[in-house]
Amino acid sequence: MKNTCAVLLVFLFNFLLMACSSVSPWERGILAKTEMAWEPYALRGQLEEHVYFSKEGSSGGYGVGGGGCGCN
Amino acid sequence: MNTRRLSKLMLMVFIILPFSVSAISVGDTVPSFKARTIDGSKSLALEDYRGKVVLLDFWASWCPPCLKSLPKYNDLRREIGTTDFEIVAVNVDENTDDAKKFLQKHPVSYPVAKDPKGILPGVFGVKAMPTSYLIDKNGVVQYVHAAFKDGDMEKIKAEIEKLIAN
Repeated sequence: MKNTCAVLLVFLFNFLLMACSSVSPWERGILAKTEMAWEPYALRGQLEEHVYFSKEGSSGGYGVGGGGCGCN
Repeated sequence: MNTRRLSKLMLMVFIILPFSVSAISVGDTVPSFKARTIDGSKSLALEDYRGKVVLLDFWASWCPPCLKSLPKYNDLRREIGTTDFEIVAVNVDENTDDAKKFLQKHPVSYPVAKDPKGILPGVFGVKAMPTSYLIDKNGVVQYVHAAFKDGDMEKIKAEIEKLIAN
């Protein structure tokens, strides 16, 4: 009985793993849209970053490269 | 088989299965396929180009490097000619109208097929956009070029010329 419960638990755990899915390179059309970028407005982003590091005295470690298109 | 071993086996199968997708790489014979052209007017089969060196290019309208690669491939095709060489493009846009708009702005003279469901890139195991497969006259992949940067054209052209000379 105990072993059967263990098998069932592993089985259910495996179904949880199946929920994790990766987006293939050719499926990134929606992710590549401007509105999906962390900062769709580059100029405004640069200004905000400038204000941020001027006020906080720190720079870098901010944002990510690319717009999520996964092209390279 | 006891239950503990069965549990381990099940766990392994569930973890390994998603990663065991096969991909086409150098030395593999390309699978034969048919796809509709981008305007849907006719069917396009890779086998129709057997005997020629074929550059099979997977692209999408939303992919910035494709904006560079398509016009350059078009120029390359014009330069090399189509006696021993052909470019076959496969568009993977989910909405084919996006690809049509792209091609109106950046027209190409080579055949373009559509694959909005992304079946072919899945079979080929495309890792980046765009990806080009250079296929020799016997239908065997001889070179795979993922992504596209300025200066890549020299390498691709050299590989094509090498295959045409063989």
